Amino acid sequence: MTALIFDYRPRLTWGGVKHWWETVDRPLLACAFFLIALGIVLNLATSPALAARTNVEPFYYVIRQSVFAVPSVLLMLSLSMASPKVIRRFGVLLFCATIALLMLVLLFGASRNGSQRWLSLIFFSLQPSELVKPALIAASAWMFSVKDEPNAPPGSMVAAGCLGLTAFLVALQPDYSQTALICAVWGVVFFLSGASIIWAVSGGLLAIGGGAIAYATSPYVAERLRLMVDLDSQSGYQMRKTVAAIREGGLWGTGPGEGVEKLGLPDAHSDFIIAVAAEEYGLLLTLLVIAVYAFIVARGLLMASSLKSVFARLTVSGVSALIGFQAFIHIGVSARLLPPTGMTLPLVSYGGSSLMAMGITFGFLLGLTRMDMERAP
Amino acid sequence: MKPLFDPAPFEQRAEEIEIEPVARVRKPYSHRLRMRIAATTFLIAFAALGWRMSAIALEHDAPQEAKRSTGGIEQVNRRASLLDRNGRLLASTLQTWEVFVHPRESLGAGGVSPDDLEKLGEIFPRLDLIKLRGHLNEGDRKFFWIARKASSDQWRRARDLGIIGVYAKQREDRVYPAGRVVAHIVGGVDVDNIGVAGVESGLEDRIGGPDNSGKPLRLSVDLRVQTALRNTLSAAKSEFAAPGAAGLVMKVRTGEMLAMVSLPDFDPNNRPAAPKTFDEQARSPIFNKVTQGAFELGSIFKLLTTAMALESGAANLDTPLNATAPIRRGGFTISDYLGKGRWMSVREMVRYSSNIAAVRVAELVGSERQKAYFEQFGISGKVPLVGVPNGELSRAQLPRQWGSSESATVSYGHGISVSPLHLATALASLANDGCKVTPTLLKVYESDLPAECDRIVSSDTSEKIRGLMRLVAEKSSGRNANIPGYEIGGKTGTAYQVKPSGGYNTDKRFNSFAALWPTSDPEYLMFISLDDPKLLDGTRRLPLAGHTAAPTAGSALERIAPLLGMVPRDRFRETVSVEEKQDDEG
Repeated sequence: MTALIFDYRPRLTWGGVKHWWETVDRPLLACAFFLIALGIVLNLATSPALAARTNVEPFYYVIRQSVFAVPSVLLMLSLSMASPKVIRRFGVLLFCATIALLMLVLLFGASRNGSQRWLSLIFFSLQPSELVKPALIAASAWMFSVKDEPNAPPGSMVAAGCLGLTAFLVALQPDYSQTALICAVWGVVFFLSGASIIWAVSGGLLAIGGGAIAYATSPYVAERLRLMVDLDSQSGYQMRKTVAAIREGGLWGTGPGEGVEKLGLPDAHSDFIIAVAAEEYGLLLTLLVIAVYAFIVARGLLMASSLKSVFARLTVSGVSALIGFQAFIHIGVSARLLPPTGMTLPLVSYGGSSLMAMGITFGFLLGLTRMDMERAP
Repeated sequence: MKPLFDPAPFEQRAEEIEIEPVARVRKPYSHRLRMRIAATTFLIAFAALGWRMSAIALEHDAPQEAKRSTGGIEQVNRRASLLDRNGRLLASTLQTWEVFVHPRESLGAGGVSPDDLEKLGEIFPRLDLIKLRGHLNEGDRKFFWIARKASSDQWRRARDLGIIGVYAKQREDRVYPAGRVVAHIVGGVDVDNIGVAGVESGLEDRIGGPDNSGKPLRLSVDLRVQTALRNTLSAAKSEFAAPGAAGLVMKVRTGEMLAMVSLPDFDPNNRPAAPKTFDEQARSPIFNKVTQGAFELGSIFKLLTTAMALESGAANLDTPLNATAPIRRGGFTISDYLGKGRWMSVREMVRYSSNIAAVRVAELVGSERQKAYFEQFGISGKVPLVGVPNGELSRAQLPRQWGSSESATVSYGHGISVSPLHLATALASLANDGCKVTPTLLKVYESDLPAECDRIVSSDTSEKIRGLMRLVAEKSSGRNANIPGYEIGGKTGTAYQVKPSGGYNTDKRFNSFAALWPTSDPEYLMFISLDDPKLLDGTRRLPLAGHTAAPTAGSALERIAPLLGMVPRDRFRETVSVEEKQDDEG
C-alpha cells in the first residue's frame, strides 16, 4: 500500500516548507486560523466574568487560551506536513496512549459536576476523552483499510473492538454525549468504508433503540430531553439565558464586550460560546461561523472522496464528520434544536484538551488532503 | 468469516486482482455516492441551524422597538397574586429596585463627596461603605451593587442625591407571606419570576400569562386548615422522632385540596437549590411527599380490596374467611399481627386488619379483576391533580407481573407503591357515593361541578365502606382518632419500609391513617402519613399506625373541624339540653 502513496518525509527546510505551502489545502488552513482567532476574540468577552468568579486576573483565561493555541497550532502544522504513514503511526500510538489515559482517569481522575473526566497535571488538567476522538478515527480507518482477503487480520472486527472499548470507557465517566458523538463519528467512518446498507440501517435502528432505552431507564437523559422543550424549570435557566443572548444580539450584535446575558451563563466560555458570539457580534457572525463549519465538512468529505488511499479517505471523512457533528451539536444546543449538553465548539471554545484535540484533528485533515496525495482518476 | 461489508476493489493492486477469487468480488459500492450523501446531510443540517438561529435572533426585533418607544421603561407583566379559598394572600408580587453604581463613571465626573456617601449609607443600612469608597476612589471596577432589593422610596431618596453613576433597574419580587406553611403548594419562582414548582409552575400560563395579569387566582387551599394541619404534623414529627411526615385534607364532593403538607418543608421566599441526584431528591425538603412520593401504604388497601369484593359480588360483608393460620403464597409466609386464629367475616377482616383474611378476599376476587379495579379506582399512572406540574406527580408502581403472590400482597397494601394522593383520591371516590373525584388545587365553584356522576362503585358499596371505616374508628385501631361528635371513620395502615437494596426493613415503618367525616354524609377526607415513627413513651409498644398516625389525625381533626364550621353533634346536644333545663327552671 505504501508503495503507491507518495511518501513525503517532513523536512524543516526551505524547500520542505515551500512544498508544503504549495500542496496544503489553503482554504481549509485559512478556516482553521480563522476559528482559532475567533476563539481568542470571544474569550476576551467571556474571560472577565469567569475570572471574577474564580478570583483571577480578568484576562487570565484569554492568556491561557492563547498559550494553549501555540502547541495546538504547532501540532496541526507538523501533522499537516507529515506523510500518511507518520500520521497513521501517530494516530495509532495516540489511540493506545489515550486508552491508557482513559483508564487512569477512571482511577485517579478529578471529579467535576458528578463525573470523572479530567486528569490533573501540574499546570492544567487533561481531558483524555477529547484526545481519543481523532485517535480512534485514525486507528479505525487503518483497520478498515485492511483488505478482505484470506489470512488478513479481521480489520473491521478490530475497529469495532476499538470503538467498543473507547465508548465503554467514556460512558463509565459518565459522559453520554461524548459517547454518542464517538459512536456517531465511527458510524460515519464505517458507513463510508463500504458497510452494507443492512449494517447502516440496523446501526441507525440500534441508535434509535439505544436512545429510547436511555430515555426510559436513565432519569438524567429523560430530564435533559424534557429541558429542551420545558424552559420553565429551574435547570432550564441556562437554556433561557442562551436564547435571551441570541435574541439580544439580533442581527448586528450588541458590540464587543457589551453583552449582558453572557454574564449569567456559567459555561459561556466553553459549552455556550456561540451564544456569546451571537450576543456581541450578532446573527451575521453566527451565520458566518456556521458557514465556515459547513464549508470545512463539505470540502473535507468531497476531497476525501477523490483520495486513493483507503486509510486517508476514511480518516479525512472521519475527522470532517467529527468537526461537523461537534459544531452542529454545540450550535444546535444553543438554538434549542437539541437537548442541552456540554459540547465544545471546535477550535473556538475555551479548553486546553479540546484545543489540542482539534489541533490534531485539523492536522489529520490538512495532512491527508495535500495536493501530493495520490488521487483516484 | 463473513465480511461485514463489501471489499473495496478500487484500491487493490493490479497483481492482486488476479489472485483474488472471483467469487469473493461483489458488486463494488460507490464510495463517492456515500461521501456525497454524507456531505449533503451535513449541509442540510447546517442550513437548519442557520435558519433556526436567524429565527431566534430576529424574533425579538419588534418588542425591542416597543421598549424604546416607551422611553426605556419596560412594561413588566405582573404575575397574578395567589389567594386561599377565603381570600387570604398566599403569594404576591412587589415592585422593587436593583440599585447599582458605575464607579468609573462617578470617578470620571469628579468622584462622590463624603457627604453623599454618608447619606447613601443612611438610605441603605446594609451597604458596605468602606468597600464602595474603595471602588469609587480606585475606579477599579465598572460595576458595583448598592442594593439588590430596594423599595421605591429608598430608590427615590438615593436618586435625589444626584450622584453621577448611580442607576437603578426595576424588578419584581415574588413574596409568600405565609412562608413555609404553604411551601409545597405554591412551589416558587426562579430569578426571572417564572414558576419552577408547585402551583407557580403548574398554573404558569394562568399566573404569568398576559391575559390574566393583575387578576388574583383563588386556590382551593384554606390557610387556616393548612396551618392547623402543618402544626399538628410538625408536632407529631417531633413526638415520634419521624424524619418526615405528609398529610392532606380534601373536600370529598369537589376534590378540592384544603390542605397539603409535606415535612420537612422549606421557605418559598428563599427556595433551596434543586437536588442533583435521584437519591438526594427523596431527602430534599423540596420533595413533596404527598404528590411525588411512592410508598407502600399498607392495610388501608384492605378497604379497596373489600370494595372490589362487594362490587364484583365475590363476597359480602358476612362471607366467612379462613384466617386460622398463616398462609404461604409464592414463597412468602403471610401472617397477622396479633391474629385471631379463627374464621372471620369480611367485616371482621377490616376491623381486625387481618392480612390472611384480606388475601382470602383477594383470591375470591381474582387477580384479573383486582387489576382492573385498581385501574378503575385510579391506582395506576398519575393522579391528575389540577395545579401541580406533571413532573411533581408520581406514577403508581404496581407489580410488574400479577401472580398469586403479588395479588395476595397488594390486597393488604404491600408490593404496591403509590403516593398518599393516589390512595386518598381513591378513598374519596369510594366515599363520594361511589362517584369519581378529581383532586384540584383550584377553588371549585358550584357551577363548575360536573352534573353527572362518573361512577366507580355503587352507592351501596360506598355506604358499606363508610360503615366499615366508622367501625374501625369506633371499635378498633382507629379509636385514637375518634373525636366524639364528628362521626369519624378511619383506617390505619402500617407498612414496613422497602430497603434500597430490596426486601423489607423490619425496623422502619411507614404509618398512615385515612380519616373520613361524617361517615353518614361524608364531607372531608384527611390522609396522614408518618415516615419511620418511633414510640418514645417508654411503653415498648410497636409503632403501629393506631398509636402514631391515628392520634395525630385525631388532634388535627379536633382543630380543623371547627374551622370548617362543624360543631360536634353530641356536645352540641348536651349544651342544648342544659339550656333547655335552664329554661325549664327559669
